Formats: sequence, C-alpha cells, structure tokens
Amino acid sequence: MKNIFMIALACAVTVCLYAEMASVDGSNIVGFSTVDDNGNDTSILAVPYVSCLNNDGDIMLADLISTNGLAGHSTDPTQADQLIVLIDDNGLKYYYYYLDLEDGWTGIETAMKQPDGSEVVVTPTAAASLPVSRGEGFWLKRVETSSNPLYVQGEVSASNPSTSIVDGLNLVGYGSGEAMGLNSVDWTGADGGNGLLQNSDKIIVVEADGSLSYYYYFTNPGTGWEAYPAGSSWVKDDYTQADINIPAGQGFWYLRRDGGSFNFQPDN
Amino acid sequence: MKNTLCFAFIFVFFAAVSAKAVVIHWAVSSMPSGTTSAQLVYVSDGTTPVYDTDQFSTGSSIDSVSGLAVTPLGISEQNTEDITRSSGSYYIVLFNDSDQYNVSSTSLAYDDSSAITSDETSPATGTFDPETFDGWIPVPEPGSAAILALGAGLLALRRKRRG
Repeated sequence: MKNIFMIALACAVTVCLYAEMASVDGSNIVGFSTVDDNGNDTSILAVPYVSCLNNDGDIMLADLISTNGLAGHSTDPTQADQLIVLIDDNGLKYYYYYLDLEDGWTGIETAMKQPDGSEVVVTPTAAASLPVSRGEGFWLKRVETSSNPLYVQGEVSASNPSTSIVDGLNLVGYGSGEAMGLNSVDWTGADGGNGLLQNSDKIIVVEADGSLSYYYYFTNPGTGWEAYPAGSSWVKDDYTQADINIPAGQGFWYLRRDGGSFNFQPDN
Repeated sequence: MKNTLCFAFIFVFFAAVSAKAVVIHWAVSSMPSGTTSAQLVYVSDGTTPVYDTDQFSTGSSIDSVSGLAVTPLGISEQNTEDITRSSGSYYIVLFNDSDQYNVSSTSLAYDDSSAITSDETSPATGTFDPETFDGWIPVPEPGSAAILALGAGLLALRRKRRG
C-alpha cells in the first residue's frame, strides 16, 4: 500500500514539473558539413557557418574546423595538414597553421621578404582568436597521410549568405550545402565591362589537379556582337558558356576590375 | 629549430608550386583594323620576332587565336600555358587577310609576375595588353622567295663564267 502511494506521488510530481517546464524555442540550427578532400592536395574552402548563439557573428577558425579524426597531424609543420588564411587582400598576406595532435591548429611563424630586402617575421593570431567570416575562403593543404574527410561546424545562419566583393582579388567562399552552378545564382553587381574579357570581372577556380580555370563575366554590348552569347553570363575565354559547378564547401578567387564593389548574395 | 622547419616548409611549398607550367594572360585592346588572328610568340633573346613565309624565323609560336576571341573591339583575354622560361620575352603578332603581320611594340618579360603565374595562392591580377604595334609587314611569299634565290644563283654562275 505504501509503495502504491509513493508511485502515485512520484507521478503527480512529474506531471506538475512537466507542466511547469517551458519548452526551449529558438531558431538556432547547428551545422556540420563534410569536406571530401583527398590527401596531398591543396584547395580553397568556404566558411559556411556563423558563430553559435552570437547573432550571425564571425566564427573563430579553431571552432570552425573540426580536428576530430584527422590523421594528418604532426609536431613537424611540414608533415601535418595546413590551413592558410588570407588576412590582407592587398598584400596577399597569409597566416599559416598546422595540425598538432595536442594543441590543434597551431600558428606557424613565416618570414615575408620586404622590397628593401629585409625580412619581417609574421606570427599568426591564435586559431581560437582568429575570426573568419561567412562568405570568405581559405586554403587547406593536406599531406599525403590525410585520408579522412575534414568537417566544418557552426551555426546555420537564418539569413541568406552574402559577402562584399571589392576591387582587386577576393577569396570567396559560398556557404551552402549544395554545389553552385556558376550561371545558376544571382550575380547582381558583377561587371561585364565593354565586352572585352580583360575588362570584365574574372573568377579563378582551383581544379582538383591544382590547375587554374578562368571564367569571365560577359555582358553583350549589342550592336556588332550578334554572334556572341546574349545578355549577361559567365563565359570561358572563347566566349562559350561556363558549365562549371563549384562543389559545396569550396571557394574561389574573384578578380574585380572596375574599381567598385558589390555585395555577392547568390540566394537572392 | 622551429623557425628552420617553418622556412623549410615555405621553401618546399613554393618550390612545388613553381615547378608547374606557367600561364600567360594576354589580350589586345587597341587592335589595328583588319586583324583576323593573333599569335603569342616567345623569343629567347628578347629580339623582335620575324615571320618568314609560313613560320617564324625568329621566335616560336606558343598560342594562336581566331574566331570569336577576335571581337569587334579587340582580342579578348587569353590564358596560354607554357613551360617555365629562364630568359627572353613574349610578343603578340597579328595577322590580316592581306598576308601581312604586325608585331607588338612592347614585350612581356619571361618573369613578369603581373601577367604570368601559376601560383594558385596568388593568381595573376594583370594582363599583357600592348597598346601599340609596329605596323603591317608583308609576309614573304614562297614563290617570290624561290625566284629571288634562283636569280641570285644565276647571277653568281654568270660572274663565275666571265671570271
């Protein structure tokens, strides 16, 4: 009889507590993506996520790249996977990091040759303190022993991905879980110049074998150009349409040549 | 020790990159009228290329473009792969339908990293786009060259008999 009373009491307390508990209601979605990248390879990666619970803020490099299961680690930087982050578009200045088993992504001191012949030592900011923005890209250089896929993690943003493309070279990452057909997304703001490809915006893609492919934004000037593709689109240097899909999680170079800038927001 | 390893890594990284073939980015914005095709020509000693009958007697052709790449405004930007050179220069040579050729007044040095690169971490931001050309020169015809050679031979033979 006593046991029955206790069980009834426990049930009543549980029901009361359940009734009092407010459900957690929010829109935060944790993202976790696989980047299938073979060993002994160099490629551009995208930054697809934002910092968790930080109102679409920048994510720290160490938080973005999961080190779990990565075999390409070593105390010797030359024998480990590398992250190469562009921190200055104008001077093409990079921070180098290597994967250490104990410390995770660890900065590598590098020497930059100056015009006067002197050298300046560049010491990277710690990966845990280096913010990387969604829409930016960075390099992954994998050693031959790296056979496991790499994972990127963070919070899926509720807003459409966008990034500012300024005059000169931009390292761009399209943060999406799907491949991007170059002529299938919104390129409002891209510049096609006067029809000559050397005056128009240019995209440079690093292929799997390390070679570079080039694509140009072409806007047909009209009269006299009837034999060329109509409207605006990305073309190769022989003016045939670009038929490339940039894989999810992969980035590319964007060379802006008209002196202005625009906000690249492919999902508009 | 750590610094040594770092420098070694940088050296290995850039050595691997520089071992690849280079890509030359070239174009013609100021195109002489009548141009129907263009060639990128490499000259090892940097002197002006010379076209003789049906090939270059000075210089070697690296790439040739025609068709849609020759637009109503000029030659659109081309990306031509070449082996890594240790000297010399690149010229652009234009051709027209009147059997004439026209050499660019300026050249691109073999090591000009603004328009020549294969470094994937810092791709080229410039283009070799010469503003002026030296003027149209007739391409020697095979028949004319043969007649000239025959005439010179007969003249030499006649002088020998007289002597």
